[in-house]
Amino acid sequence: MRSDIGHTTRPVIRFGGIVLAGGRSSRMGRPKAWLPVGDRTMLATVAGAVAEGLRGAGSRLATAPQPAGPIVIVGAPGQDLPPAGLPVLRVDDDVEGEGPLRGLAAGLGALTGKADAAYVSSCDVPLLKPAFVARMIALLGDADIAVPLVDDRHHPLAAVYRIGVLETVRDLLARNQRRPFFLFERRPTRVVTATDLLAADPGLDSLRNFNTPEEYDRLLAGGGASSGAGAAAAGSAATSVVFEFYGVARLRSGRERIEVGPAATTLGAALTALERACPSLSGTVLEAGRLGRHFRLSLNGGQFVSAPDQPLAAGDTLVVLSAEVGG
Amino acid sequence: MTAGGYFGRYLRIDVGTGEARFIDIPESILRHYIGGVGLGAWLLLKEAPPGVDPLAPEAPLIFALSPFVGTPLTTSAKFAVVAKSPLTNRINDALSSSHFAIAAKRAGMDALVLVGACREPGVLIIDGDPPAAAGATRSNAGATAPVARMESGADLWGLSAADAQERLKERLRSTHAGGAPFHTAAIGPAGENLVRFATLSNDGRHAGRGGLGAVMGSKRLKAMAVRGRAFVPLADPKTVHAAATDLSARSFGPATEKYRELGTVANLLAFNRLAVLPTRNFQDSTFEAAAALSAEQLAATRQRTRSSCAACTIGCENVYGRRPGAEDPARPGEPPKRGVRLEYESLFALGPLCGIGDPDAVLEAAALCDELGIDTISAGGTIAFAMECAGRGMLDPARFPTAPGAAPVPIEFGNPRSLLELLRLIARRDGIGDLLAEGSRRAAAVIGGDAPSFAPHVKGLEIPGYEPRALQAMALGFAVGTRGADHNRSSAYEADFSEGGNRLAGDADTARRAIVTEDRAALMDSLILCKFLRGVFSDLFEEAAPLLRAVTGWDLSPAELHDAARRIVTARKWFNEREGWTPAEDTLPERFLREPLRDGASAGATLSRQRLSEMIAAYNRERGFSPDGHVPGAMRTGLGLTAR
Repeated sequence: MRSDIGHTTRPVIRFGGIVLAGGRSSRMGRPKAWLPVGDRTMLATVAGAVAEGLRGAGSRLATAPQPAGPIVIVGAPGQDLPPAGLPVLRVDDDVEGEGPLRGLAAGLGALTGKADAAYVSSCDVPLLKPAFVARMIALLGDADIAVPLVDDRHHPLAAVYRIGVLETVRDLLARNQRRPFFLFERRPTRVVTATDLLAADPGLDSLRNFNTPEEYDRLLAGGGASSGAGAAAAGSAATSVVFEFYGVARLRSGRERIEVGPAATTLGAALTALERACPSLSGTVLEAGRLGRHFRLSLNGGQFVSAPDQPLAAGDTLVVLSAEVGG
Repeated sequence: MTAGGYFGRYLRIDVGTGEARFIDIPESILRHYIGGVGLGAWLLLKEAPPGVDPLAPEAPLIFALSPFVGTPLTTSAKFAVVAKSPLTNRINDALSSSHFAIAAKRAGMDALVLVGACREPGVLIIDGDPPAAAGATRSNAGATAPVARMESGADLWGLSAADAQERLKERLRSTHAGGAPFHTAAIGPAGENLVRFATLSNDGRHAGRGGLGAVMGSKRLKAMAVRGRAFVPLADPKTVHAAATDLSARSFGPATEKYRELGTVANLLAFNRLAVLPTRNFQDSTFEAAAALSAEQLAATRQRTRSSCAACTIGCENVYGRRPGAEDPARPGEPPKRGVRLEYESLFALGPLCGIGDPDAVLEAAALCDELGIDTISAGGTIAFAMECAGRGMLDPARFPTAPGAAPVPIEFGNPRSLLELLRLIARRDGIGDLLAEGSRRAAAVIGGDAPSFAPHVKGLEIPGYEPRALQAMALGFAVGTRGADHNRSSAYEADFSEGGNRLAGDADTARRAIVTEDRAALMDSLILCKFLRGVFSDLFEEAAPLLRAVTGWDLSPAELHDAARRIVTARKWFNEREGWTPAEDTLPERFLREPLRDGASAGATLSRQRLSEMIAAYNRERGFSPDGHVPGAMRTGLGLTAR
C-alpha cells in the first residue's frame, strides 16, 4: 500500500533546444555551421547531439521512448544555413551582431508555448555529448537557469534556460546590458561546476569550441566522429592525464581541474608536469616534485597512489584531496 | 602526592538530594585510563548499576576531564560526557569543547558524576569560588568541596539550550556577583522530552551522539553552571609550556589547513567524487546537488566567519550566515540571533542523506537541530529512513499520523518541509515524531516488514557520513564499535583513504589497520587532544609520552600508552558485555550486505556478509578477544575489570 502522506506531484517540464548559428565566423574565415564533422555538417552534428540529449533527459522520467522536444535554429537575417538533419524551426536574430543574449531572445521567443525550458548551444561545439545535455537539463531543478562554471568561466551557450527568463533578457537588451552574467544576477541561477558534469562528459569536451582553422583542426585531430551525437573523440594527446582538485588543493590551484601532458606516463612525470603548470601548488600540495604528506591522490576515483613509478594511461584522472578526511 | 595534571578525585552529586562529595581516584587508575573517554569508561563501570535503565535516576551522567585541561596545550579544553546510551543501551561518550571544561577543572575535580533526579525542573550550580566557605561540604580527601546547590529551572524549561544558558548566566551575574565567571551546559526541548538522540550543549558546542541530553533530561536537570579558582599542578611546567608553544606552531601548518580554510564540510565534494557520500538513506553514494552544498560553493556564496573552541589554535568552525529574510528557529518572525555552525556530518545528514540539495534548507535544519538540541546525524538518519519508508508505502497515515489534528506533513526525499517539520515533531514527540524520537532501530521494529533491513544504524546509533560498502575499513569500525556506528572512536576511514589497502575489498589486514586508528583515537580522546591535530604528529604515541610525562611526572613510555589505549578499548567493550552485548550486534544492516552500490567511482561495490565476518574475526583475533568477540576472563583480570 502506498502512503498518501509521502508524495507530491511535480509538474512535468517540457524541454526544447536552441542552437545559435548566427555568428559571423570572422576569425574562421568561413561559416562554422557548414564545416564538416565526419560525414555531417557542424550544425547537423550539434543539433543531433541536442536532440539526442533531450530524448535522454525525457527517458529518465518515462518508461516509453521519448520524442525529442522542439529545436530552434537561430541564424542571422538572410544567413544561408545547411540542413540540420532533423525537424527544426528556423528563426532569425532581429538584430545581428549583438551577442548571445539577442540570439537567446529569438530562440526563447520561438519556443514560447512549445516548451517550458531549453538547452541552449552554440553551433561550434562538435564534441557536444548528448549525456552532457541531459545532465544539464537534470540539474535545472527549481532554478530558472543552469549554467556551467568551469575554469572560472561561465558557459552561457551550454546552459539551460526557462522560457520565463525571456522578459528579463529583453529588459537587459533594452538597457544595453548584453553580458549573460547580468541575466544570471537577475534570475535564480544554478551554477554547475565541473564535478557535476564529469560523469556525463569526463573530458568536458562538450564545452570545447573553436574560432580559428587551427583550433578546428586540433579539436578534431584526436579522433573521428563518434556514434550517437556524431561527436569526435577527445582531442587530448595520448599520454595526457587530468588532475581534479578538491578542497585545499582547489583553493591553492585556483581551478577545478587541469590536463597535463604530453608525456605523463608515470605519476612522477605527471606531478612534474603539474608543478610546472600550477606553481602555486609547490610547498603544499606538492613537495619537491612529490605529493605532499597531507594530500592524497586517487587514481580514477579508486585506489590511492603515490609512487612516482606508478604507471598512468592516457585519459587517467587523478583526484587530489586532503589526507585529513575526519568529519 | 597526586600526579601533576590531576586532583585525584571526582565530585559525585545526587541532583535529587543535592548531596555532593569528593571521591578519591587511585593514581593507578589515572595512569591506566588517563582521562576523557578512558576515565569515563572506568567511572561508568564503577558507578552504573549493572543492567540499569539509561533513563533511570540511578544511571550516572559523567563529565570526565583530562590531565591536559587547563594547561596551555592547544585544543585541550575538552571533556567527555559518558553514560549508558538510551539510544543503544550500550556505552556512550561524546566529546565537547568549551570553557566549561576549564571551569569544571578549576572547581578542583577530574570528573563530575551526576546521579539521582530532580522532582521539578532544576539547575545545578557548582561554585568553586564562593565568597565564603560557609555551608561547603567536606570531601573525604579533606579538601573543601565546591558548594553544590540545586535551584529551580522552571523558568528555563522549554527554552533552547543556548537561550537557557544565556538566561542562567544573567541570573548568576546578579546572584553571584564577583568571583570567577560561571560556565554552563544545558539541554534543549528534545532533551526535556527524552528524545533518544538529544544533545547536551555548552557554549554553542554539543556533546552530540547517543542521547546524553535525554539522560540529563531524565534527571529533570535543565542546566548546570560551574566555576572555580583551583590551579592545575604540573610536574614540569617549563617543558609543558615549551611543548605547548611547539604544538601551537605546528597546529598552524598544512596538517590542519583543510580544517582552517574550509572546515570539515570540505569532505562533501571529495566524497561525492569518490562515490562514498551516503545519499537518500544509503540508496546512492553520489548526490546530484553535491556541488551546490559543497564547502567550495558555500565559501564563495555565503557570509562566513571562522571561530575556534576554547584554547584552540586550529579554528575549524565555519559559521554561515542565513539567507536574507530567514527566521530564527525559536522565534518565528524574528531574524536569526545566531549564524549556523556547519560540520560535514550535519551537512551530509540533513542534505544528501535526505535528498535535500538546497543549502538554505540544510542551514535552516542545522540551526533548528541546535535550537531543539538534537543530534544531526541521528536526526538525519532517522528522517531519511522515514522518507524511504514513506516512499515504499510503509507509513500508513491511519497508523502513523504525522501530526494529529493538523494537516498531514509530506514525507519524501528532497522536500525541505518534510525535514524541518519532522525535526519539530521529533523534538515535541508529537504524532509520528514520537516514533522517530526513538531512533531508526526502534522505529523500524514498530513499522515492521522489511524496515529493519534498511534502518541505518549499528547497535541503534545512526551511521555517519561514510558509505561502508565503499569504505570497508570504516565498515568494520562501525560494526565492532562499542558506541555503535561511530566515526570518532574508530576513525578507520583513515585506513580507507590511504595506500596499502583496498577500500572496496576489506581483508584481515584491514582489521589491523582499523585497530591502529582505534587505538590512536582512544589515546587522543583520553588525553584529550582534538583529533584534527593528529596530522601534526609523526607518531602520536612517541610524542604523547613525553607530553604526558611533563604534565604528570610519570615515567611513561610510548609502549605504556599503547597498553593504556588497548585497555580503554577493552574496558568499553567489557561494559557492553556486562550490559548484555552479544556477537550478533557486531554487524551492519542487511542493506549493506546485499545491495551493491550503483553509481560513480564505487559502482558495483559490495560488502558480503562473509567478508564482513572475516574482518570481524581478524579484528577479534588481533584484539585478543575470543573468536566471537568476548573479552576473555584472564584479560579482564589482567586489566582489573571486574563485574562491578
